[in-house]
Amino acid sequence: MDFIHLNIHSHYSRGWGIGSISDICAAAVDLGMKKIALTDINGLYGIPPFVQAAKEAGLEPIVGSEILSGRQRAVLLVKDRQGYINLCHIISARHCNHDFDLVHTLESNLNGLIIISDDFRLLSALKKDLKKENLFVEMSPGYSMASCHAFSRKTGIPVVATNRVFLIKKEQFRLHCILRAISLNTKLSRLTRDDTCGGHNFLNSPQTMTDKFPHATEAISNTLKIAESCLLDWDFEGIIFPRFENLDDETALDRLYKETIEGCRQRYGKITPVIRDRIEHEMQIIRQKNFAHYFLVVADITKNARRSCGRGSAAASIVSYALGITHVDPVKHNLFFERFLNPGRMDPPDIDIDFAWDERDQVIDYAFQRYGNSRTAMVANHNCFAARSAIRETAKVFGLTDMEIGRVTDKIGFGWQLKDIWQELSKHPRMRGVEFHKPWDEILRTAVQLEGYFNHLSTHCGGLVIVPDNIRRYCPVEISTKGLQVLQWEKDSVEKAGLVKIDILGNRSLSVIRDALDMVEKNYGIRIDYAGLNPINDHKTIEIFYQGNTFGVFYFESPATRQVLTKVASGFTFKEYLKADHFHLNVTVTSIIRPASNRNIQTWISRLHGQPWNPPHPLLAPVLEETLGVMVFQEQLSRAAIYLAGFDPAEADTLRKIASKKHKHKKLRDFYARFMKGAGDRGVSMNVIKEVWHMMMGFDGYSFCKPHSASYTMVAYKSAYLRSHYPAEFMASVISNGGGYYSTFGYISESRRMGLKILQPDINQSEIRYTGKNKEIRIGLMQLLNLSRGSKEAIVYERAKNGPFISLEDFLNRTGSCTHLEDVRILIKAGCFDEIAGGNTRSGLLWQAIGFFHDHEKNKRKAYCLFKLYPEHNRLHSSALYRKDYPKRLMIRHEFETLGFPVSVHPVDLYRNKLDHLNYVRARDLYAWVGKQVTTIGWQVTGKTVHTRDGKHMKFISFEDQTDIYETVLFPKEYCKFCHMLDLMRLYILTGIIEENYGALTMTVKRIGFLDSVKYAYRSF
Amino acid sequence: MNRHIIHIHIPAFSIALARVLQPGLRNRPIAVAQPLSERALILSVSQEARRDGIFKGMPLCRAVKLNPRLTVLPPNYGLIQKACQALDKIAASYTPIWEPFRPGHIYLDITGTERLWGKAKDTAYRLREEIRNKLCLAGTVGLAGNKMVSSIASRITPTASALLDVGHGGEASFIAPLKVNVLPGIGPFRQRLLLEELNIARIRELAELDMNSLKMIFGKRAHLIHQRATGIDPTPVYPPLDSPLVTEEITLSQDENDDRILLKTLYTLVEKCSGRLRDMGLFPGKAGLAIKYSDETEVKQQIKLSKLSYWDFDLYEPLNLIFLKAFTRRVRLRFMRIWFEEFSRANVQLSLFTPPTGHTDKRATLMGALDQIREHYGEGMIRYGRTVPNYCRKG
Repeated sequence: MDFIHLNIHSHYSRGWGIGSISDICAAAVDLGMKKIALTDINGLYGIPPFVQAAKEAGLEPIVGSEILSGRQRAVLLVKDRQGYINLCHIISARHCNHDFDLVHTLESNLNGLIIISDDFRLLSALKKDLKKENLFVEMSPGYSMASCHAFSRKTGIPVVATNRVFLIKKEQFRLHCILRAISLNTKLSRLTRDDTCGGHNFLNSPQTMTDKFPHATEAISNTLKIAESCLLDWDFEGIIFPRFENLDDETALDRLYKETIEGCRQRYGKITPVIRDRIEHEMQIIRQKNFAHYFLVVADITKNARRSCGRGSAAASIVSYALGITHVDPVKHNLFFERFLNPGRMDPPDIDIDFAWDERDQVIDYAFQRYGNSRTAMVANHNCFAARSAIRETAKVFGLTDMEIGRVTDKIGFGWQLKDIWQELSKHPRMRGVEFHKPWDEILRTAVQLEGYFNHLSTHCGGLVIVPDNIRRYCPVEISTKGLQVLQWEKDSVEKAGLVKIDILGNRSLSVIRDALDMVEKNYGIRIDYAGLNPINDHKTIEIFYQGNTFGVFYFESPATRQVLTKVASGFTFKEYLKADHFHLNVTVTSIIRPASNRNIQTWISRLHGQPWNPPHPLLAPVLEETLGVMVFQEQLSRAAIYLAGFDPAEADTLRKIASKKHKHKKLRDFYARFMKGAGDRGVSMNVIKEVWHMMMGFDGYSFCKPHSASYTMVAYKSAYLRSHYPAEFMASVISNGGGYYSTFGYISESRRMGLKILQPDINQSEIRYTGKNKEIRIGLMQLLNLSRGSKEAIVYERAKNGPFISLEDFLNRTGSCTHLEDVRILIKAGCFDEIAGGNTRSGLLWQAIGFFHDHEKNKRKAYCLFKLYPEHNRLHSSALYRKDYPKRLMIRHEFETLGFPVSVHPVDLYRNKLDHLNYVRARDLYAWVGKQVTTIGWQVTGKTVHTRDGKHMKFISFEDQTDIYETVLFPKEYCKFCHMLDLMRLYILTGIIEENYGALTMTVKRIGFLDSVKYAYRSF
Repeated sequence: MNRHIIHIHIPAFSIALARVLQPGLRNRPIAVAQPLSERALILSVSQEARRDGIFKGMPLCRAVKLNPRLTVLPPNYGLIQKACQALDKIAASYTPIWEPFRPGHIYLDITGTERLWGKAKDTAYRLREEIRNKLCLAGTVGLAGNKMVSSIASRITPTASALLDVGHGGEASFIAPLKVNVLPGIGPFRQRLLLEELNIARIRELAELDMNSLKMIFGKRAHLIHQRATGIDPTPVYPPLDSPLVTEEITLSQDENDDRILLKTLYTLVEKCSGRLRDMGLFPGKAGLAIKYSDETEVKQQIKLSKLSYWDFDLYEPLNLIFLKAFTRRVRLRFMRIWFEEFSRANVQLSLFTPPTGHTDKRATLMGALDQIREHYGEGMIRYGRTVPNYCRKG
């Protein structure tokens, strides 16, 4: 070995580097290298995975970065811990300081770094400050090698050879050019030589590199010297916790204990021995893990918000319950603390807290203000090219139009991986009708290679890291578009590097509850406190779950969940249901519906309704009893390992983590042996061991832990309480906050089914948001799709200030200066002025508005006038023309245009002429047709595409007609036939068989027919 | 004196021509589109094809899906030009004032020809018959007091080859019951929407509006729209102009965004134009370039030519320059057109002194030789390497 590559870029050199970190390591191993450097441009984005991948591949990692700033350029390599800290500071300065100067910054952060550069000014400036062994002239083939050599001889600064690697293999040069064109927003034929690297900048063998430097052998040998002096033994294993108010550990622990006791007094009234034992148990582990600061910091952030909901495993802790971080009693609901924290757990645990989505920014602001920018930063997201973006960006380089690209990308489903499908993409049933002409083959071939490459850095929605000293010691930071300080690492890297993060997440349901409670107080003067609301025994609330009427109810509103609720309740009378532990049943429902366990739903339901069952082994009875022998919660997997095979909690927890990941088989081998031995020692037969292991491994993918489910179920009960007692207020809040499982139209339809009346928007009654009162929901101004934000605010402001508007004229006089004719047109067409029209029609109003703005414009051009000048247009046109109202079909079209859906009719009604000739069953009558083939009509409400076990696609779709909503399923054969035609805005004629399962109806669709798209429907109306 | 304007309109002109030459194409669905292109747009559609939902501007591949038995013809510009000339000749025999509006559309002003040809309606009838007999083309004819109404009349006649005479003074009442969008100048978007929202569907309702109301909708164009709504159109019939323009265009067989390939195509176009300029002995003073992207966006650029010349090597450089200026997006190009205008006669006066270098002359001699070879052996027999599609200079 006589040469080491010291300048290598991975795909984290955005828009330049080709090759993932694992590919680079694998190529290095193939070339027989022992050490390898990673020097991405202006960042350490990939360092934690690089260190891990290099170690796994048996390489010694050299960490560094290439700093580019204007014309200044230098490769910095880390010699020791101090060097790493300095490098983080330099990179942070490069991203955060507008007047960044590399020479100047380097001068104050030299320690522990090796500097390699071909920038003569920089080298001359640093020569006096730096020891000889830390400063080098970079000699790279193709980059003025001779003058670098000459400079070195003149100044005495030693030379070092690099190949400025951007590619792993030579053949990747074209891919590099395409990536450059994407990055520079240009096309291939306009790339100049300086825009790309050279075709020779690939990871070539040490021998080739040596052969290129016969005249400067010291350049080659210096690579070895440098590698020798770099820090090779990378270790990120220390855990870095935040520190609360600079307290020392003991004081923090005392304070936490006191606050816990105080909180428990408030929550329970009296501290029973059971509670005290639990507190002591938890405090002991917290002390052992030095976790007190973290609790105090989280509690401090939580206290500052009006309402929150601790999620995840933290809900299993009585300490977090006492501190107000979570709201579910872990003692009463039997939540397992070790899932959250156990003495053996090596990785940093985290507490995730939900806040109302529109209050989250304030919470984050508070954290930054409390702990300061020097200690706090957000976790980043590495936005990489996914299937759609890779295709889109590549196709743009090839000059395709947005429409041509959209035709393909719009049909690519969420989460599709190009590497699995790109060869069959053109034959995919969803791509029917899309033509893949000539450049598409190269576009797809390129896109599949770009998939997964780093595209840009964004801010993780809520991950926050607080450190005791200076955040820039641990990781470089950048400034996000929102102005927040953000780390260069995403959450996995942050975890690998031992930084403890706090997840501050947005939750729309908390806003829904808040808004509904506020509306209740405004409407009826009843103040209900969020924290004090505990409707766990409220009959009307429980009835919501019993009947599966959970539209809008947090976590229970998806069609699948509603069907499970129906199945759970079937066979129980309401009285029996009340007596059963419905809270626990619903906690189970939230988790069993997740991918890890949803195939067991049927087993669980049948056992619930009396089918006998036994645990695979008596030892497992305490673990599986509460879920009737089915694995539902994450911790059941680890507990099974503890109870059956005697794992210790930490070990069991690691097993759980590995089991939920992909590509786990290699790692699991040791655990299996350990599991067999442990269980065998306890006298468990081989068959049972295999059965239980199989059951545990089948429990892969996404699922919840029980504390998390319990915490969310509690929020759901609060939602359900509001839905049952204050339906108008609740549904109005659900729609206003958006983001639910259904579209606005879906919620409007549900409100109608609930017996609520939907009122059209009104200039005097509508707020910006939807409002509800006494069984009536008033559409808010937010629903007017193209109405400018300024107008909405002006309307509400002016109304609050000077009272309601008495006519359109009054409205125009008062708000004319901040509204535009387009806005008024929208308001008129949506019917906002109908109540104050004074007998005028909508077209008459429009004339008035046009007249106003016409004169307004004219006057503006003339000169400012002392008096109001709106005389002419006030004269209403007397012609019969203006007194004629719009035909009905035009009004409906205007509703579609302005609101996005019709309010005065159900969209199905638009087709009534055509439906007269069709014989179909209405949704509310479907129960009478179980087991038979029927034809129905339906408007699509929501849909979900899923994979079957053998990788085929199928889809669940909810349809509604004027009478009710119903669920359908398209199995792979039918899905393949019809998927490319499933469009939201049309009426479907479905033929299929109605099936019943524990009271829940599903239609298995066999044929789909269509009536015209809605665009054409209102023409014939 | 009352004006009499005839508008003769031959629907789907290029298809009608093709049917004259190949009677077998009658009563069959036909479309005209560029051949050899996978995504060509349809340029013209026959009545039969329109019934299947095929319309002008639709991609050919989709049209073929709608009707697999669709006959697709390539556009035959030579034939169209010939037919236009024949039509012009017939029109010119009736009146000196006629306007070839578009291929297949001609306006004739026959005001004051009564004593020569008889009543206007008879003249229109005779004209139609003459076209039918001589050219075997059936057209609809509108006769009215102005261009706008005659054009509307020819468009709304119920059957092919019908004749509609809007009597003098009856223009306003003739168009009153028609829909507003028949009027020229009422675009499909803002104004039509506005008229619909204001409950104005028919021209009659538009005509009834007072000027103040019209101004609110159409602003400065209110007077014009009012005139049109009441059936008045003072535009004269423009006699044909000599177009002082040398132009070449190309619709690429496949959309392209590679500069190298596009510049080759540009050179070919310049070569053709400069050949024609040399034939005519004209020096252009101005050059222009229009490009159309795949998404149909069009960009135009013009440049003043500093040097009077008709040689390719002088004309190419300025066009190359404006091409790079115009083609700024990444989207592929579909169409390219160049033109030269503002001509001056070639200066035949020889210079008194020897020119500083013989360079230009040498190239000019070469070009002259090339022109001769092409004249003898055909256009494509000799060409520059740079215009060969797959040729790339080494390095």
